[in-house]
Amino acid sequence: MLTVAVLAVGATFVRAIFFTPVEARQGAAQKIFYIHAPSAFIGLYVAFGLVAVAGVLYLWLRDERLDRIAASSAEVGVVFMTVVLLTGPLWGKPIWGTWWTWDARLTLTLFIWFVFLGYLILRGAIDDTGTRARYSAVLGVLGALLVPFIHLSVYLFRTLHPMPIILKPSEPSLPNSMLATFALSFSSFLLLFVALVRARYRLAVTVDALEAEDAAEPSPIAALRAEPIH
Amino acid sequence: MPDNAIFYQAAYIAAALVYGGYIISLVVRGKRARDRERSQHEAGVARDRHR
Repeated sequence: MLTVAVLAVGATFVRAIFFTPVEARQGAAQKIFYIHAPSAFIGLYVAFGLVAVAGVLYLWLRDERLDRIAASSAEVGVVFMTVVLLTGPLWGKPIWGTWWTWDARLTLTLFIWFVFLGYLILRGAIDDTGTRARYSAVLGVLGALLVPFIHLSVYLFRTLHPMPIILKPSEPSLPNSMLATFALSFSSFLLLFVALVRARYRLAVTVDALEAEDAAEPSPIAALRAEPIH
Repeated sequence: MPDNAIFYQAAYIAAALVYGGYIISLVVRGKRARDRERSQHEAGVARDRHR
């Protein structure tokens, strides 16, 4: 599945670079849209949304599979948002004349990236699996509460970031050839997201099984330490 | 039309490096976990034989 996803993303790159018209006002820099927008949409709404849903369900059902889904989705979401934070300034410089501006949309996006980076650090810092799952579920749910604010930030505040051109009540403001490339791009990045979460989940299953075995069978040194001295 | 192709080329390279790097990290971590699983299994077999 991962191979198919990588090939699909490769095909998207080829279509966007060689077979999609150059936008008249922005020039070739507009092609950044085909990786920036799908990565942002999937990172924010799909990945962090899944973290929140799995987190709430974990707090209710205490099923460790939900904790693994949340952890996998958070890690892949951070990767997607890293791409957003790298490609955004590369698009902003030629169009806005600046790499970065501390407006609401950009600042909140950077903030949510730090929140979920903190989520991953928190998971690495707690050994007890139950405590780790509980704390990270709470942090994941709280972090995902930022997502609606990020979506609405372009309406609520003055910002350099443009209004949504696809995700809006009226028709998308893109010609058909660009819309087709965006549809391909969105589908291929969504497939990549699913493939990465699946791979990360399988890794988590193996690591959890190893940790459980380690806990059940203490090392010889730990066994010696545990023995009383007479 | 502005000549700014260098920016989109840099963005596509950056995206490829981030996604590619993450895929490599998953492959490496998966291999390490499988190696650990194998060595743990072998240690368990040896311990059982010793008993």
